[in-house]
Amino acid sequence: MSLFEINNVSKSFGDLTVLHDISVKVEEGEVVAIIGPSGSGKSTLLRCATMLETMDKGSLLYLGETAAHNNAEGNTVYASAADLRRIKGYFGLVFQNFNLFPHFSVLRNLTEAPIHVQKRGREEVEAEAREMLRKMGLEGKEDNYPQQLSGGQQQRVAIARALTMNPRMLFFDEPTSALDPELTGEILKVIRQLAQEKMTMVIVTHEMAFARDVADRVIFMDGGYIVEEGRPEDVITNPREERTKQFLARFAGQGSIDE
Amino acid sequence: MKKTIAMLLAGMMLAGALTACGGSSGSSASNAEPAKEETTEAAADTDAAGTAEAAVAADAASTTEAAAPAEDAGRTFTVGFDAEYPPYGFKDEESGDYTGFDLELAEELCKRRGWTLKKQPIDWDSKDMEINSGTIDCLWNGMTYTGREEDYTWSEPYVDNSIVIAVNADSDIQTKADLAGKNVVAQAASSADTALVNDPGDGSNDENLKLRESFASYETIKDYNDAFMNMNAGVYDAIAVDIGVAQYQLAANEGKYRILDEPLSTEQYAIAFAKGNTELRDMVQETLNEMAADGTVDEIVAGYAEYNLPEMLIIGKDK
Amino acid sequence: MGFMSIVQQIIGGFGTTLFIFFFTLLFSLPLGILFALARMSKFKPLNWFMQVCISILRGTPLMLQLIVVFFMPFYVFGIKLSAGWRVYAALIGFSINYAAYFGEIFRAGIEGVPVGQHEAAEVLGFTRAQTFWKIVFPQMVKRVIPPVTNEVITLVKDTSMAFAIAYVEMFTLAKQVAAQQSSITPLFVAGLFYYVFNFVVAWAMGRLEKRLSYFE
Repeated sequence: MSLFEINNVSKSFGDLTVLHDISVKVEEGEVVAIIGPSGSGKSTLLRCATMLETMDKGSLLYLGETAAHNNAEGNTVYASAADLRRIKGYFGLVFQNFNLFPHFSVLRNLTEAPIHVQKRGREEVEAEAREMLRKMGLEGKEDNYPQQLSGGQQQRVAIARALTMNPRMLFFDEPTSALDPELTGEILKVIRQLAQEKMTMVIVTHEMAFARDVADRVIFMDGGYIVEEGRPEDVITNPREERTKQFLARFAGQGSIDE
Repeated sequence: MKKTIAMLLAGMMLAGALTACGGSSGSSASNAEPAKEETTEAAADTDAAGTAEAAVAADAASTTEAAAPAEDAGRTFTVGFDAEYPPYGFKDEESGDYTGFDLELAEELCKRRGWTLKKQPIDWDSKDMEINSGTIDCLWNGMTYTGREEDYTWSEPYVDNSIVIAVNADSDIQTKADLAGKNVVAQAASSADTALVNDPGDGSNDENLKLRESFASYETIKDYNDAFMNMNAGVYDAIAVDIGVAQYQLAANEGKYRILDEPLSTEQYAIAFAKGNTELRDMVQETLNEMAADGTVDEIVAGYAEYNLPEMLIIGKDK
Repeated sequence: MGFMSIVQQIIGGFGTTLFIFFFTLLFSLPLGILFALARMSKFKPLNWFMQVCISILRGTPLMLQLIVVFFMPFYVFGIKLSAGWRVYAALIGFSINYAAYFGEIFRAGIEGVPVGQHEAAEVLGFTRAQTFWKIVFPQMVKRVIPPVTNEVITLVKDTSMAFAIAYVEMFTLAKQVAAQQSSITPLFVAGLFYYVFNFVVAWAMGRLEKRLSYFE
C-alpha cells in the first residue's frame, strides 16, 4: 500500500486540458521531485493531490483510504466531508507564497490548527511548536508577526506550521521561487534535513541541483503529461527524452547542475 | 390621493426590500427610552368638575357605537404640531416643555376631560400620513381651515389669520405693487404658499397668482425662522407669512422687520381631525366652547398679546 | 437668551442622537456581515435577492425608508400605530439602511483577503466557519476600517433624519430652539456637538486602526 496514490487524473480549465491521464505513487519515506517548465501542469497536479483543485477524472488515495474515485461514467466523485477532513490530516502543504496568517504571531500560526482542528491540548501543542521553531532556527521569534520576518524565515515558519500538524507527508509548491536567491539555501537546508529524517515529500521545484541531490525519484512533466520519470541521476544527468534534454539545457549555463 | 401614493410607495418598498432582508434587526432595544415626548398628566390633578365632565363624556359616548374607544376618560389625546411654529407650538426656553397658544388650549381641554395630553412634534410634511395612520389624534397648530375644508374633519374655526407680507424694516417695499421684481419666499406647504400658488381654476385666486408672477423669484423654504434669517441676510426681499408668525418675529427682533398694511389673504384656523372622526371632534368642540364661554380661552390668549393673537381670536367673540 | 440655556436644551437631544447612533451600529454591523455573506452566497437566488435589496437600500433616500418602515404597518396591514413604534421604526430603518452600506464594504473587505489565506486554512483543515471567523474576518476588519469610519461619521450626521418620523433628536431640537429664540445660534451649537462627537469617533477609529497595524 502506497502512502499516496493519484491515478489517471485528468483536469481541464475550459478548453485547455492541463493534466492528461496522470498517475503518481509515493511510498513511505520517499522524496519525489517534480520538475518541468511553467504551464507543464506540475502545480495543478499538486493542487489536485492536496484537494485545492478538483479533478475531472481520476482517483486519489492516502494510506489506501479513498479521497476520490471514478464513478461508472468515469468522472471523479469525492468522499464525504467527514472522510475528507480526516484524510486532509495525512498531509501538509507548503506554498510558494508562504500564506502565513499575518494577524497571528509566529507561535499562533503554528498552534491554531492543532488546537482547533485536531483538538489537542494547548500546552502540549505550544511546547511542540516551540521545539519545532527551535529546530528551524527560529528560536526567539515566537511572538513576532510574519511581516517582521525575512522571506526565508517566513517560509521556515510555514514549514514548521505544516509539521506541527504531524502529517504523514509534505507537499512543497515551489518553496523557494518567491525568495531572493541568497535566501533559498536556508530553505533547501531544512528540506534536506527533513529528507534525512525520512519525511515523505513531494516537491515541485526549479532547483535542479537540489532535486538531483535530495530526491529519490524525479518526475519531468511537460504539456500536462509525465514525459520522463526515474532516479535523479538518470532523469537529470542523463535524460533520454528530447524534451527533457531541451528543458535541462536551459539550466546548464547556471552551473547549478554540477554544483 | 396622498394616501394612494403612500400605499404605492409602501407596497413597492415592502415587496422589494424591507420585509425579508430586514427581519432580523430592530426587535430588540426594549429598554429604549422613547424619544422626547412630553406628556402632561392632566388626569392627576382632576378636580370635581373634571371628574363630572369625564362622566358626562363617558355617558355621551356610550350611546354612539364608535369604532375607536375615543370616549375613555384617561385616554391619551395626542396633538400633532410643528414645534418650529411659534407662537402656536414651540419649545419653551424656561421649562424645556413644548408650549404655545394651541398647546395651552389643548392642555386645559385635556384637564377638563380627564385626558392625558401627549404633545407630538411632527414633520409637518408628513402630517397627513401621521393623522391617517392614527399616530396622532389631531393637528392643532395654527392649521389653516380655509381651502382645506374637505380634507379633514374640522372643529369650528377659532382664529382668523391673515397672510401678510413681511419685509426688512429699512426696505423700500411699501405696497404689494412694490413686490414686482423682488425675491419672495414662503414656508413650504404653508398656507402662505397655498395662497400664492393654489389655482382653484375659477378665477377666485387670480389676484394672488398675478402678484406672484410679478415677483423676480418665488421660493419656498423649510421653515419661517430660516426665511427671516435669510431675509435679514439679504437673500430675500419679502416673506409671505401667517400674521401670527410674523408678529412673533417682529417682537423677537425689535426694529428689524415690518409688515405691509395690505394682507395677501384672510383665512381661518381650526383643529383638524382624521376625516370621519366626528366623535372626537365633537368632544373637543364641546369642551372648547365651554372654555370660551367661561373666559378661559381669553385668559390663555392674553398671554399672547404681543403676537396680536387676542385680536385674531374668533371663538366666543360674537356667538 | 443665554448660551448656556441653548446648550442645556440641546444636550437633551444629544442623548437621543447618541441612542440612535449606538443602537444603529449595534444592529447594522452584524447585519452588514449577514448581508455581505448573503451577497456573496453561491446560492444564486439568495445572491440576487440580496443584490436587489442592497440596490434599493442604497438607491433610495434614507428618509423615505424611515417613512416606509414607520407607516408600512398601517398602510399595508392596516395596523394602527402606537407612539412607541417610532423608536423601533427609526432603529429598524437606520439599521437596515446602514447594513446595506456596511455589507458592501465588508464584501469588498472579504474579497480583498488573498485566496492563499483560504487555501492555507483549508489545507490545515479549518472548517468554513473557522476559516471565516479566525482567518478572514480579522483581516477584513483591518481593511474596512477607513471606509467604515466614513460611514460611521455619516451616521452621526444622518441621525437628524429620524425626525422624518417625528422622532426628535438633537438637530430637530436645535431647530426648535432656533425657532423659539428666532436665532441661528442653536444650529451652530448643534454643529459643535456633531463636530466634537465626530472628532471623538475619528480619534477612536484611528486608535483602532493603529492597534491593528501590527500586521499588513
